[in-house]
Amino acid sequence: MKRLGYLLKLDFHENLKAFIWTSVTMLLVYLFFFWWAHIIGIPLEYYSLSKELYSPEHIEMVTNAQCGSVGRFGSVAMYFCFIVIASQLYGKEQKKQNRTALLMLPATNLEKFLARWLYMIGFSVVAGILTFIVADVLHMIWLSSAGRPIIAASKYFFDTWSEDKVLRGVSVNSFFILIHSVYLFGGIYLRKHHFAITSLFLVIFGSLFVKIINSLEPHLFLGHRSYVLCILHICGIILFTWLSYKVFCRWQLTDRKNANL
Amino acid sequence: MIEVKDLKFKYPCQKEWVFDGFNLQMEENRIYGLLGKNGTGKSTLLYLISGLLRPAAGSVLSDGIETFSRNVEVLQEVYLVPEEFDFPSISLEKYVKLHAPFYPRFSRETLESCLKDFELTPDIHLGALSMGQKKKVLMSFALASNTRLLLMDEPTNGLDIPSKSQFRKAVANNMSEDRMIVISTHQVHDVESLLDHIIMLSQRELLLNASIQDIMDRYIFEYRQPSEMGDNVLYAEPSLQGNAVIAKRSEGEKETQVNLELLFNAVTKGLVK
Repeated sequence: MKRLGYLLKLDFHENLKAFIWTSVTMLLVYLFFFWWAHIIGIPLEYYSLSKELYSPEHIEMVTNAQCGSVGRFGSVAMYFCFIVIASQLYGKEQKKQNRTALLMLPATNLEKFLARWLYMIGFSVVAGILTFIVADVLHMIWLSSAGRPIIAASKYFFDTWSEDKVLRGVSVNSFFILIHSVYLFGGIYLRKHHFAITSLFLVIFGSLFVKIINSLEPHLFLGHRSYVLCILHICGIILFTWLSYKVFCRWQLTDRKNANL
Repeated sequence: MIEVKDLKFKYPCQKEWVFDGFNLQMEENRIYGLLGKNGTGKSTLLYLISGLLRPAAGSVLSDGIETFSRNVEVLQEVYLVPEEFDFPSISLEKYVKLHAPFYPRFSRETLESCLKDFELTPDIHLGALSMGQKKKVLMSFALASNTRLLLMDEPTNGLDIPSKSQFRKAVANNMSEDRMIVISTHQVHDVESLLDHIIMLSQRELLLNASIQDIMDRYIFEYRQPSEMGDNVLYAEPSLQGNAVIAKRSEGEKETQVNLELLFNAVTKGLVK
């Protein structure tokens, strides 16, 4: 436990630059979305045929639409950020010097893997979610200074990931976690172009999988298609996380040209 | 103790075995010199001992534990100083704070005394150092970690002339009975006076595995004029001082200091075993 703490501290300090840069980039991306929505995407003139341009109702409707749009785009950008972070989790260790340093650290493979995984979660939360909240706060300050109704885009941002029905919510979220774990595996298994190759793999096998599922007779799911998909997603998450750990345990200083085995 | 048993190893995508049925045993309280031509597997052997590479067959054991398992107990007792390494751009103080807790017997006093030997101060920033200075810091940290096994790959590469003697001093001062140091190098003159056991590798085989004392007992290393060569000469090389010679030592004859470069040339030519 103590060693896990030391590893987390080490990971945090050694990757601080990447952490700051990614967070700043995401903040700028989110701010760009706000700017885009206000100036180009949904300007104040939008919906103006039915309402007076400067009426409070019209302004509120447009601001709501702008926030909704930014929230949805933001959540897609956040997910993209999550999978990039997952696929680049061991990007630094593709260099021989850094790999030596990591593998020679006196800690178990599990501790090293877990520490980096926890670091990834923290990194993702800060870079993907907290920066959106910061951007939203800055946006609300701007709204207030511009005399516009103060509406939080975060509501729309988080709404994208929540579903009214619990099962559908679990199914959708487990699907996204599954994709995330495939990127994690790609980042550990592949030596180069982790993101591109994993994306290609997902497109090919993902479409094959969807085709197979859709071609199956509905009675095969016994009327519980969502349950079956949920279980498949969870099994996939466990499989890819376990495979990631197993490949990490077999990492050597010099592996094959394309794969870390 | 390190035991290498029937080791077989080759790099992925390579046809040639680097080691094929290789055996070796190394013990504490010794400084081993690992010598060999380029590509004979010196660094590979260090990586196998440190658990960074996985043997295709056979085993590499550290106190009976397979090194590739990268067991914490083994890793806590091994420190590898690689030829190429990276330091994060942080202060040495911060680096020590982050890395020292992983080594249970880490000694700050040893670190400070080694840094002093290398004419460095503890308040330095790692990002502002030259490659040679970084190497000195890493070696100081390695010695301060007090691990029982210390592996060094070309430790004197990139060090200036005064630093080489500082390196010898730092290593000699921090050698202990329960410690084993393995130095892989081409710069034999830099470490000649430090070593007490020589391991010479050639492609896939062990050319020589002998202690310095054993070599000194068996051979004489000296300069002779062409007229003084004699029958006991095993190997000779012309030099400015006459012929540099390895000769069989007879009983009662005075011991001479080992000339590693000469010995290396003689062993690789198969004239001394």
